[in-house]
Amino acid sequence: MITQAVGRVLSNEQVAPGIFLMSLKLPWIAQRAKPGQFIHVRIGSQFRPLLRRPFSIYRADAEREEIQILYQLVGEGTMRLSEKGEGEGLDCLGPIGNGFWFRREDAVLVSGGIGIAPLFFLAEAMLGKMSSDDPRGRGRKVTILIGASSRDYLMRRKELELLGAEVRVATDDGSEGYAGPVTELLAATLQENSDRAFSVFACGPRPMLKEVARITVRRRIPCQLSLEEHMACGVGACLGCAVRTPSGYRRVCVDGPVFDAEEVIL
Amino acid sequence: MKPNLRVKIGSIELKNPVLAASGTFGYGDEYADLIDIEGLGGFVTKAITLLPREGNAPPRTVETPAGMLNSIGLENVGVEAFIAEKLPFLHGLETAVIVNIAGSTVEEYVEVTRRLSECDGIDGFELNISCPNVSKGGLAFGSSPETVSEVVSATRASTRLPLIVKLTPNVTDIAPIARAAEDSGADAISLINTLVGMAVDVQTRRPKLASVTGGLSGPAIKPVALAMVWKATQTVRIPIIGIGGILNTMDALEFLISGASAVQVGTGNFVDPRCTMKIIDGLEHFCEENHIAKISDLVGSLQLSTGGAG
Repeated sequence: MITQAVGRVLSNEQVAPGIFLMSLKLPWIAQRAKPGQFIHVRIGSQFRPLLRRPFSIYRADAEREEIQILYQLVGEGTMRLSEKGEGEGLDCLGPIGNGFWFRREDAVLVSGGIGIAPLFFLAEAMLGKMSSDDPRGRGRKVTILIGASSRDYLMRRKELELLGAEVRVATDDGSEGYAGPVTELLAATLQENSDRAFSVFACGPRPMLKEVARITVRRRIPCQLSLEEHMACGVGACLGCAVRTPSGYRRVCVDGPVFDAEEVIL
Repeated sequence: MKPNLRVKIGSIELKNPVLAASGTFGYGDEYADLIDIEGLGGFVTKAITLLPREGNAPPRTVETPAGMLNSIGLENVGVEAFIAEKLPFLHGLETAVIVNIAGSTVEEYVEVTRRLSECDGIDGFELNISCPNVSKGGLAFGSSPETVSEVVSATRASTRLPLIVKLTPNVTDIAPIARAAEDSGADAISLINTLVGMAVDVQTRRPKLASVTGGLSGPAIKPVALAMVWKATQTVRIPIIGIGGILNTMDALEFLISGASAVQVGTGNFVDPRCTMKIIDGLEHFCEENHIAKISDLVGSLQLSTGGAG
């Protein structure tokens, strides 16, 4: 169920060039959010911007009743969001969407740019939060491939290693890790692990997701993609955020944002 | 004593003059968790066509200054699936349920209206002869008095339920169009649908909507809508439902004072799902503060007397 609530901004800091991390006090949402879900945020009180903006939930802490979003400055909406100070209220709808689905299988997570946001939450859930006595993560191998334009934009690497994930890195300019697109790193990783069963989970720019889908579908590896699309209502009413599937259009907001790679035509 | 917010649109009694506009409120259930739908005066469903429609390619929406463009392309489940899957939820709701109908031929409008008139749970129809985002039908019907007459009289003959005709602002003069709707048997007129608009990404030099142009809505169009509502009220005697950029109580009041008997909120639902609820509370409060016993007294109360203002 989606609820509407005003979240108090607890912090809002730049963590990489043009990338911000915001913490919000949102008890109802924090207690129910699943990895892959998002909140739909009204940033302006007037017309700038007019519509809400969707943000993947980066972390949810039920006990502290907080959620975090990790966002990149891309336009006026995110610019204004970055100016929000501690104590300000933000009108939020959430948690929205289906989220990722997973059992105990090994997983390869593929992130492009700000796509790290929902995947961090997923990795945390798969590996059993920060507490070492949580049995959920035991024995499961989670590999995360982080793609970025340059080393300055590689985010949350240490945090992911602390969680127990194996982290591999690709940069477009070769300033760190594999020099080239993260999808090539995925192809290599799949090659190395061709004897094991696992699932792939990806979030990033559309061309990257298209390539991830191509690689995994060909090898018959289960793969889930978290999509992004222009969104107006965020609750499934306006049909604005359509994605093509073999059986017609589906709504990214409430039918997704996570789709099986085989079920969408990107 | 609480002010009386009831208004009548033809034979439809609304508990208050605020409706959710077609295309912004889905089939009703999408907002059921977020607001008390029964608090609404009524709501208008997504446009229903005879057969299911897939809709247009994405991107379908983009924000523009104080507004947004959309080009959904009348995606809907089709009349039979609507009756089987969506109508049960609407049946028995304590609010007016108005079904928006679209088609690409006169026969299609008639067939959908006839089929839906056999069902319980519908309080009236809104004929969408003003969608700017489909190649056939829609806007084509709404832009000349002759075609308006043709589709409205044919549909009129196929149902006894109240018929609201939704007009497009993309015409040279709204007056003959409104008159044609009235003369052909419409019980009410709703306006305006969206204005044709466009936005371009200068980096890629591509239009921001896949369909190149779309329909502009939101606060940006409110003055245009008000002027057209005013013009329509000067032309016809049937009730007018005002639509266009209504986001708050003051916006709604402007339309009522200009002659609209009720209003529809569209883009406002996206900005804040509680937009309609806040407006209803605000109207009640405004009437109390200004000692207005019934809101219908406000309708068309625009003061035109010229005087000292220079």
